[in-house]
Amino acid sequence: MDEEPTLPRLPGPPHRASAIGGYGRKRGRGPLAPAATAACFSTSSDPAVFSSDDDPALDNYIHGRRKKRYVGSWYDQQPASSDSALGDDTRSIPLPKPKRQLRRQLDSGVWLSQGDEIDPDDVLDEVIELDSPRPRLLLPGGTMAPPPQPTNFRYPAEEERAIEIIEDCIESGKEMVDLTHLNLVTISDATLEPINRITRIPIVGEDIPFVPGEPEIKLYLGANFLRRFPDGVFNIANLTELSLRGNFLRELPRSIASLKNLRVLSLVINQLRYMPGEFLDLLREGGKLSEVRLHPNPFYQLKAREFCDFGAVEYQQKTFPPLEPLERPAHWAGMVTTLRARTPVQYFEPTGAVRSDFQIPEPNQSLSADDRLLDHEDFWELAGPKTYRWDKQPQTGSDGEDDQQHGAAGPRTLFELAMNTLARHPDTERTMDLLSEKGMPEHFMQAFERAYRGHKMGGLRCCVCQREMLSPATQWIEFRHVHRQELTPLSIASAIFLALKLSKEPLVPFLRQGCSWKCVPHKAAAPTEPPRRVSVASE
Amino acid sequence: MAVNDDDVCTSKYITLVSNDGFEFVVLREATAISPTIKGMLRNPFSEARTGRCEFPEISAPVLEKVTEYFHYWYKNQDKAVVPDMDIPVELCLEILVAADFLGLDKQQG
Repeated sequence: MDEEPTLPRLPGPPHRASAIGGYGRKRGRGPLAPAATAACFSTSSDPAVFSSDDDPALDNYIHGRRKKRYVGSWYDQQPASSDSALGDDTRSIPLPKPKRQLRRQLDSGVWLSQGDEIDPDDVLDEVIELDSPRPRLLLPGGTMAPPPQPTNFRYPAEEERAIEIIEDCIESGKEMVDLTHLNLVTISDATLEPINRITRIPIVGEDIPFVPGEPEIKLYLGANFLRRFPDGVFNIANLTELSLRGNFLRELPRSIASLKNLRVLSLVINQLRYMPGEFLDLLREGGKLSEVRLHPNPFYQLKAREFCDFGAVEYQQKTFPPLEPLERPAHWAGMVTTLRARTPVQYFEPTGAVRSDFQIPEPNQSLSADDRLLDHEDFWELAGPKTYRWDKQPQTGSDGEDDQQHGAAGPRTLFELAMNTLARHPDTERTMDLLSEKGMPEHFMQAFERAYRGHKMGGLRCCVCQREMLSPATQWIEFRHVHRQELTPLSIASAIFLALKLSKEPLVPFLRQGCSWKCVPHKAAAPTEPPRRVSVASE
Repeated sequence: MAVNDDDVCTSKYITLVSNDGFEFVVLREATAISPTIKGMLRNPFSEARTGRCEFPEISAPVLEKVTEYFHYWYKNQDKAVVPDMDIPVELCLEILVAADFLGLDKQQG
């Protein structure tokens, strides 16, 4: 019974004593109480009650009483009730509105309120906060993280210039947005967003039919100081050409695969060490990309100059879920890749500790030319993590395990689950500072940073089972040749020519990441005879 | 509970006790994911006899979530595709600490 919500007490009958003489509200109209007492009260017509006063329950026959009147619903009559479910809700009693002075213009029939008095009914008392309050984080020890402080934000001068240029392009319907040489260090989503408003201005002339066309936006961000890929680019729907030439990008976000309309991409002269594996979605037959410029960049390279690409096809087919086939126009020409080699797999604990001999350098580590050379592993081999019982694993390379392919992840660890929730929280960045002040253990902070980075880089998915994740449990790099392909059948001569040309091309590394130790490359069948070797030119 | 005088507790269930005295009864097999609890239930320790593991550092709401996770793991351990368990944001830092303590931060294997 305790659970039952308590409601505010009902107002008692207007007067217990008055009930003696019939129904209290139906009292005859006496002489009005003195105006001074009456004016103090808004909702109640009761006169003020002081201990020195006569008992209000008794009818005052000397001054008479005002008639009791109740306006509004019953629960408004007794706003403060200490034990009610409303808690300590102290509702302020609205003051009575002063009677408005209405006056009308001589030639008007409308009576308006006088002067600059503002009708309180017309004005909102306070701005209603629309977004619901975020759940606040509870720090260990029971203290709440303080709410975020609003900051006064101003764009730096360089970005103001970019905004001007974009406005210009919108005005003139120019599809080429040239933001090169602006010394931009960052460019916010809000700055790039208006580019969507650029519309194609149709050619008007005699005998020219009107062709409603989507604009083909070309965005040039070359020769700036960008360190992070500008996320605002993803919101530009009709982006067909993107140049980030001559910046300081170290990583591309995985969501780059969502730029489906892109035809030309230039990433020349950046600090890229690898491409995200998701980018391969754009580099396949039927894709729209027809020109990709990637070199020079300090890409990872293979230590060995010669290796076997035997089993590459089997590895690709059995490791990754099949991609949706793209519609291929009859005369298609575009960029595709050819897999050449892959590195061994790097295994992580959810805390970020590495459990394998092979290790890809951390992204913020500075590297010499030698550090950029990575080992390779043949497609028919697969090294496991240290201290790991492989006999329990379904993917040990034996046959007849097809049901286990494309996702054998199992439940995540509790640590991972909690970390994922934490990294998605909007206040995470501040929490990170708070935690480092509080002295959290080192391995916590590492795991936290990894998860946060994963979150910042955009929806990360396991490349094997397609499950969402924030920090990978496995990662390896595929080395591929990126080349142009046309759908016309190759003659033998041109095939040889292509192979020769490719052997001089540098390899491009693509990072693959899995969400658990079971999401690893499929082990291809071992070759029965000595396989063909491929050699690549040094950079 | 089937507790013999000096024998180990062989019940299918064990009890986890939070710092504020709440008790959670869990399948013994489900706690096998945690090396810490597994260690506590080994013979020389008193927990092995009583089947009661007390955690003076873990509060009841957190231990409840941990208990939920044990069963979540037990139910899904052999499945390949598992929906993620929901963790309330306000508890996640404390759960992280608890998961670290209980050894729930390692991949199984």
